Amino acid sequence: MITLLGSATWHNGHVDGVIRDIRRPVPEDGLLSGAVARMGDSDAGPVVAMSIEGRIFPRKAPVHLHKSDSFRMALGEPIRVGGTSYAHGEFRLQQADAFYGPEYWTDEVGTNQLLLMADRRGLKPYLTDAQLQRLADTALADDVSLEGVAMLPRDADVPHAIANSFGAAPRPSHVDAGFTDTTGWPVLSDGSRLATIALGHRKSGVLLLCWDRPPGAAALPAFRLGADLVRLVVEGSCRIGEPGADVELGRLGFRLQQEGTWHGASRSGPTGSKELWIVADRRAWPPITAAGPAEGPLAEVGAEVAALASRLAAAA
Amino acid sequence: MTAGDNPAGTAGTSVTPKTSVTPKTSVTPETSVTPGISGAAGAAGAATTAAAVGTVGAVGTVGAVGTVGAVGTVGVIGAGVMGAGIAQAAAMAGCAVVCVDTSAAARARARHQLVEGRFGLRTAVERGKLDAADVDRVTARIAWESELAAVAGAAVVIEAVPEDLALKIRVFRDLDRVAAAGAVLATNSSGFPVGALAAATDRPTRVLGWHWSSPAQIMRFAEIVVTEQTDPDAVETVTRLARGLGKNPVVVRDAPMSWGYVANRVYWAAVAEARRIVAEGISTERDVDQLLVDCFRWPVGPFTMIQGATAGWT
Repeated sequence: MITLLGSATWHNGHVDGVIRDIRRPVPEDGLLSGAVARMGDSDAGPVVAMSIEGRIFPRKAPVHLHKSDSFRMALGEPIRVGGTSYAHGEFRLQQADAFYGPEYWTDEVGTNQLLLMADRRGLKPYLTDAQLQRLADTALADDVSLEGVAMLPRDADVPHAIANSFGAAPRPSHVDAGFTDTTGWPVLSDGSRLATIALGHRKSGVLLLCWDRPPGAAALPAFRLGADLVRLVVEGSCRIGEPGADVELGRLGFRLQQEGTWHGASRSGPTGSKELWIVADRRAWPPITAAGPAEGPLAEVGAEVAALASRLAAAA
Repeated sequence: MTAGDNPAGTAGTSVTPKTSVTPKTSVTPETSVTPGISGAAGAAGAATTAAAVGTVGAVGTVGAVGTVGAVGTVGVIGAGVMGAGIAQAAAMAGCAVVCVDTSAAARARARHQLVEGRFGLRTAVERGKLDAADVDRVTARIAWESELAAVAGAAVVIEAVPEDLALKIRVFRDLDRVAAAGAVLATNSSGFPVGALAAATDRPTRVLGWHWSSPAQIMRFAEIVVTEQTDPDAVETVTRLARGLGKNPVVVRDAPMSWGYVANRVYWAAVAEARRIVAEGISTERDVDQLLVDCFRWPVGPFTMIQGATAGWT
């Protein structure tokens, strides 16, 4: 179940929103503006933050690790991790238990990016410097995003693994890729390109689907998935069918969809759509449709996911 | 993604005055180094102990090859572009070198590049920087090994594995176990806080940064990065070695909250501004590059540098 740190009005199991520049006032258009969302398992499910506020350290975070695999993607403005800069739509998959950083925010306020921690218990940062660790611990003591979550201790064993379907070369502890170049992604029968990524727990971890759907791609049927879903439009737009009126998600628009609820049929907009789908528990894929088991692209995704799962099992 | 690294990699040098130096890349090499610790040690030429640092006389200097005195064996971890270049620089200055890489292919490639590469010994001979008779002697000074334990006898160990912090921390943890007690452990990181690496060892006073630029065998750049804990003796050892290798060492302080030390931080600031200028529509990437080349005599502009550092130089 998706829970938000903040209020929102849910309709038929979903809520729509848009990620906005954290430095600008939020317009009163009724849309959720960014979010910190807990998904899936109530103890160890993922947490997604759709913008980062630089609350603990100004402008940057020192070298640290998390007890969870993580995913971060630049949105609108570049982000920097160590000596690597990520432009809008580029992302970094970071292995659990591996030091990285320093991380640079855009300014004192923070940075527009999507951060996913595959296991919410790994949200707490562990630093190499004892003095900085004390500062961080103090700041995090009253952080609502950690509230009620039993953080993993520094020496905890974390059975996480990262795998991808598009041959992105793993650096020793991270993988860089992005929506900026999708030419290496597998092509589905409707012309869409799809990158499939597994991270987090080896069996029950997160599934990321990165879609590059051309304007003419066939509509995806309405479906129901047994896991929480976040759907974010990185570029272009998509239209989702709803009783009454369709909903259009534009650039940086998102949908949060509760597990077990119906997601309307959808098609990409006039310029296509590049979308990130976050599935809280990859075991729930594939979804079902009104006609039964998924067919077409949704079923093709299933084959990719199965291949990833097999690879992870073999590597375990 | 854009990898940042030392822009100095394209500057002209006094070592090769008539050469237009366009490095393969200044990004750290892609060789995989996951050191396996075994009991095997004793690489050729690795007999000098850390205790001998500062006491040994000139090591086998030859003809036109530079001389370096008072230095023991140099260990190099990683035989990629940077590691191999560092090994060559040390060997040409007369040091016994042990270069470790778990990849046999990387070792073979490095061995070949040492002699035949664009900045290799044959080119040095052609340019009058090395006597032909010395090629074999310099070559023989480098032992190419697969096990980390081979650097057990080194006085200074320079880590040059890919620019991944977790990997570097793991290497330092392992190096701490196998290196001689007084050995200095230096990282060739382009910018990771040295304190994070020192904290992974039980010898933080002997850990420092020695940031090289590519091609390591030619560029004089030597950014020596020290933490509050670094032993002055370790700094002295490394700066003396760097000078002996024909480098121009500059000692700077580590910044735990920042990436890039000095050279890369300044360069990143220039890159960020250049990007803003292009984003604002004031100029194009090509024109920004041209202006900086013409105005400041940069060998290439920031965008060309990024392209070269990430995709290779043509």
